[in-house]
Amino acid sequence: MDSLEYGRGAVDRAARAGGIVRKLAIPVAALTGTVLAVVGTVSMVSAAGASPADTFRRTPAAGPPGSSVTVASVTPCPATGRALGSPVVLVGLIQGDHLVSSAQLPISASGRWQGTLLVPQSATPGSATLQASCLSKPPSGPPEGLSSIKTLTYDVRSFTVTAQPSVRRATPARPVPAVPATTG
Amino acid sequence: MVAGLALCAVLGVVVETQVGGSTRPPTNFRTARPESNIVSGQSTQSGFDFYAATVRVPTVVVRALPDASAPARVVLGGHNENGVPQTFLVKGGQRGPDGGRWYRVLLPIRPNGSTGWVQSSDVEVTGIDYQIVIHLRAFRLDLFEGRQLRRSMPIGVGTDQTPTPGGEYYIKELLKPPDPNTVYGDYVFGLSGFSNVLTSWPQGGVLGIHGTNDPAHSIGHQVSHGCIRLTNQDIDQLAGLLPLGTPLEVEP
Repeated sequence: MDSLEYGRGAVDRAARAGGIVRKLAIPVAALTGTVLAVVGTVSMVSAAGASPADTFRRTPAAGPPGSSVTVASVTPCPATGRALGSPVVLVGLIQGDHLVSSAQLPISASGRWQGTLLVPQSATPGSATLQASCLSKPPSGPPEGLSSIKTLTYDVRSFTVTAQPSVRRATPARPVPAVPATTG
Repeated sequence: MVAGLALCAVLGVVVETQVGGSTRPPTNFRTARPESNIVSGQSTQSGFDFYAATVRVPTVVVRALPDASAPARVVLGGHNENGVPQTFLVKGGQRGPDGGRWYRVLLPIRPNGSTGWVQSSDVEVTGIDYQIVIHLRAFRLDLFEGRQLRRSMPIGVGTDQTPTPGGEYYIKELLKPPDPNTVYGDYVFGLSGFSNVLTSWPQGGVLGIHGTNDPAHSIGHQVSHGCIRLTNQDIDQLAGLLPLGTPLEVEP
C-alpha cells in the first residue's frame, strides 16, 4: 500500500537529497487504523502546478468529526497522466501541517473521479483544507526515488471542522388523542 | 502526524449495587451505556444513559447491517399507526463502509426484541434520563432517573392466560383516550413489545402501560390482557415526565 506524507519534513528531506525533483511524501492512515511507514515519494513535475481552473468540488464545506465529505473532480485528471501508468487521485484533509485524513480514489477513463473522505474523530474544530493531486505510477517501474508522478495539483479547497453536535435531552412525550388499541 | 480512525468500543461491566438505598436497574439495561459515546461522540461521563432515535424522514429503511447495500429488515413510516413520530431506542452505533454513522435500534415490531440498523441522517437522537423496571411478581413499577430510584408504583399485570411478557421494550407513544372512564384510564403509553398470545388483537396486540377506571380490582392483581395498569394518579405523573424512547424492562 502506498503511504505518503505531506509536510515540511518530507520536503526538507527531499531538499537535502539534492534531487532535481522536489519530493513530497504523505503518510496515509489506513482505514483499519494502522498507519504505515512512509514508502513512497512523489515527484513534483514542473508542469503539474495548479492553475485557477484546476478545481474539484467538496460537499459539504463543513462538518463535525465523524462526518464525511464528498469530493469530485471538476477538472479531470490529464490524459498525459494516464499514459504514464496507473492513475489515481490522492485527496487529503489537512489541519495545519497535519494530514488528518486521506483517500486514494480511482480515475475514470475520462479522467473524472469522485469519492468520500472521512472527517476523523481526531480532527479538531476549526479551519482545514482539502488538497487533491492526480498521480500516475510509471508503468515500467519507477526511476530511483520515485514511485508516482504528480500530473496535476488542484486548487486547495477550504473545509471547516465543526464541533460535535451535542445531543439534547428528550422532552416528555406529547399525548395524542386516540382510541387505544393496546391489550388493556 | 498520525491520522487515523479512532473507532473504539468501550465495553463495561456494571454490577448491581445499592445507590442511596435504592437498587440500580438490571445489568442488561446498562448495555446501552458503553455505546453512548458512539452516539454523542463524547465520553460516557458527559453523555446520557440512554438515547432515543426519532425518525425525521417520511419513511425509514431499517437494515440488517450498518450498510446501505444490506438487505432491508423493515420499512417504517415517519409516524406510526397512531400518528406519533416513529421512535426507536438506540442500542449501539457503528460506522458503515462509507464512513457514515449507523445506529442499532430496538424496533416496535414482532418478534419482541427485534433490532435493526438505521442511518444517522434518517433520525434525530435525543438523550433519555429515565427508565422503568417492572417487577411482575411484586406488582411494582420502579421509575429510575439516571441510576436513582425515584418512584415505585403499584401495578396490575396480565393474567396467566394473557401474561405480560418479560423482556426489554421502550415507550413508542403516549395516547389520551377520548373517554377516561374506561379500562385505559387517563393515559396510555404504547410499548414497542407485543403480547405473546393475543396476536390477532387490533394493531397486533401492542403492550401498554395505562391508568384504570377500576383501581380496586386492578392494582396488585393479575387482571389484564398483558398491559400494565396503574392508578390514574400515577399514570398522570408519568405522562408528564417520560419521553418517547424511554426504556422499560419487564422482569418476572
